[in-house]
Amino acid sequence: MHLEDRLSAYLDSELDATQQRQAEEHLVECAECRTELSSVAEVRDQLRSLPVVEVRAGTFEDVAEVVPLRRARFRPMAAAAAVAALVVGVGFGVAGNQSVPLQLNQVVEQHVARASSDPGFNVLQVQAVANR
Amino acid sequence: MASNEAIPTWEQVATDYGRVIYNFAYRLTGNRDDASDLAQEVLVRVRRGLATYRPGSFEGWLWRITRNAFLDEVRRKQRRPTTELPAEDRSALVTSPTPDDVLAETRLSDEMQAALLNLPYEFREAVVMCDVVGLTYQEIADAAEVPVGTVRSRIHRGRLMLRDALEAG
Amino acid sequence: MTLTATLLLVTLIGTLPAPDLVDDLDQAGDAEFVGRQLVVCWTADGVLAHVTDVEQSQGMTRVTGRDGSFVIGEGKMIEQYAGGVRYLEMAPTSEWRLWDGYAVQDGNSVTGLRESRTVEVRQGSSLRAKFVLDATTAAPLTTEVYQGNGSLYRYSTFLEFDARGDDDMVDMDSMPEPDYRETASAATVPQSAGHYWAADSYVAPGGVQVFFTDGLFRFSVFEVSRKSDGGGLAKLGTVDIGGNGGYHRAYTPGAVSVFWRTPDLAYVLVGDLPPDHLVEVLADLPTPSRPALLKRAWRWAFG
Ligand SMILES: [Zn+2]
Repeated sequence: MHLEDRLSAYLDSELDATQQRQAEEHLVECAECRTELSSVAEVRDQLRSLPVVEVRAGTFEDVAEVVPLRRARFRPMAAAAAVAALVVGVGFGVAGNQSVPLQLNQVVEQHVARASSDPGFNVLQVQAVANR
Repeated sequence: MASNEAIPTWEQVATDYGRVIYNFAYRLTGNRDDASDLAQEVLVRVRRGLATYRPGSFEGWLWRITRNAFLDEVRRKQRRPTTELPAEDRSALVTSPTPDDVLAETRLSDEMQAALLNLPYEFREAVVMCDVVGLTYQEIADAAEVPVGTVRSRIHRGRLMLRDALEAG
Repeated sequence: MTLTATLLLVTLIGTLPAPDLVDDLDQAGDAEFVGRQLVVCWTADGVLAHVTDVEQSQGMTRVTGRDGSFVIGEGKMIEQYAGGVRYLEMAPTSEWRLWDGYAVQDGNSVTGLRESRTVEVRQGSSLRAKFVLDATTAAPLTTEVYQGNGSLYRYSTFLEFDARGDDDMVDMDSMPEPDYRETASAATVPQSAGHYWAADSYVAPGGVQVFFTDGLFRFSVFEVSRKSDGGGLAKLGTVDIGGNGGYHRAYTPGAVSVFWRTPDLAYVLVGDLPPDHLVEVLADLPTPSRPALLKRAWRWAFG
């Protein structure tokens, strides 16, 4: 029996610990479910990276400012804002000297550049930079 | 939201949830006019409803209002008595974006939006609530008033339908 | 360092418990293939997954994802994007070796996507990583990384895999001069953290990079000014890691990033190490704290 809708629940952390373990054991064995997992993961990823559409001005006439959600739990839109913040990056103030701008991207890239000097398995290391 | 927390004012709801309600509406309808109308309608209902709201599952309550407002809007516009948008409306929605839309969207997200609009309503709603709004399966179940198992199945089948549509497109 | 000298050194140190893995790594580095890889990671912030196109040829690996295309290998990182090229090159590095706390075992032959065999890496009694290696090229078709408690942390697998090379991966003739990173030293970062050792240090934008590894996983600690916001990480809420608060943490499917401040400096850690190793590592690095009031007053008064 294949995992079917448990694959989505798995990606969404909606399985309990036992179900999650069972799903993992099945995934390691079953190529068919891995393929379906990857399809669903890709669509899910695309949905979660849809651009956030700004509220048209005047929609909430009486509210001065519409701000992103304040939520501790994962929210794709909040996460999108956080990622945007990461990508924007802010200059590092180097004590006394000229400020050298550093983005998280650059930190990750410099790490991966060094990691790629180690023998083999580049493919595992480069994944760190593939989706920042 | 814990039951001992204060009930928010409708301005707070607009501030905290306005953007995500608007995005929910935009992804369901595919155009900014309808998204604006719908977001306004939701806030009107929230203002009206807050007077009688009792602390409990605020998210469930809010998204039930949002969902009902959307379904009423669809009916009001006489698109069809069922909840699904007719095909000709869909193509109109997809092919005539406003300049704002053009600025905001990439080709991939256009394809995804078109694929979303072709999903039967209950699947589109489940997928958007999960992946655009970020609700848990339980919150979606509360909003749509169906069992969690149904939500899980709708999300998974919805995603597979989107994959098929994107591959075919 | 020449190959002979390296082998001699490795033999002298006595860290040659896994000659097979060394062979596999060398062979995997030379493998030529084109494929599509899924990476799934179970993080404290939820399950993250992505699918990327991967090709490897002549020791260089290209990954193409939503964010663009990157080529890495031999200490170089080339990012090609619509607006141009970023080309980073690191100064020569120390030699790779595997921590002697790992035991490598050859497992069974399996037939999945292709003819393959498994290699397991154990830390003490627990399984830390499992590789399914392509029988002919040793490319890692599937990789599983486990936490100390036995739960799966990261899973990556090729959904499509074709053992053929692409010679035209990067036209090096048209590359600009690389952004070259010289070696440097960092005063406040220790030479070891957990069981990881500091292999090399480099100049980095706004500070110094210290590269740690245990041969299986690796991370860098960037020592920067306290005024830094960690490239935006400081905007995320703080989390408690290993009993210390004050860390800002973000995950991608392939890596974890952590930012924190001490009274004098700030640090960004980025790497592929599993969470229980991260706890051990952070315990040995400077811990997050604010300048003590008295110390600040002292500094204000006496510099
Ligand atoms: Zn299966």
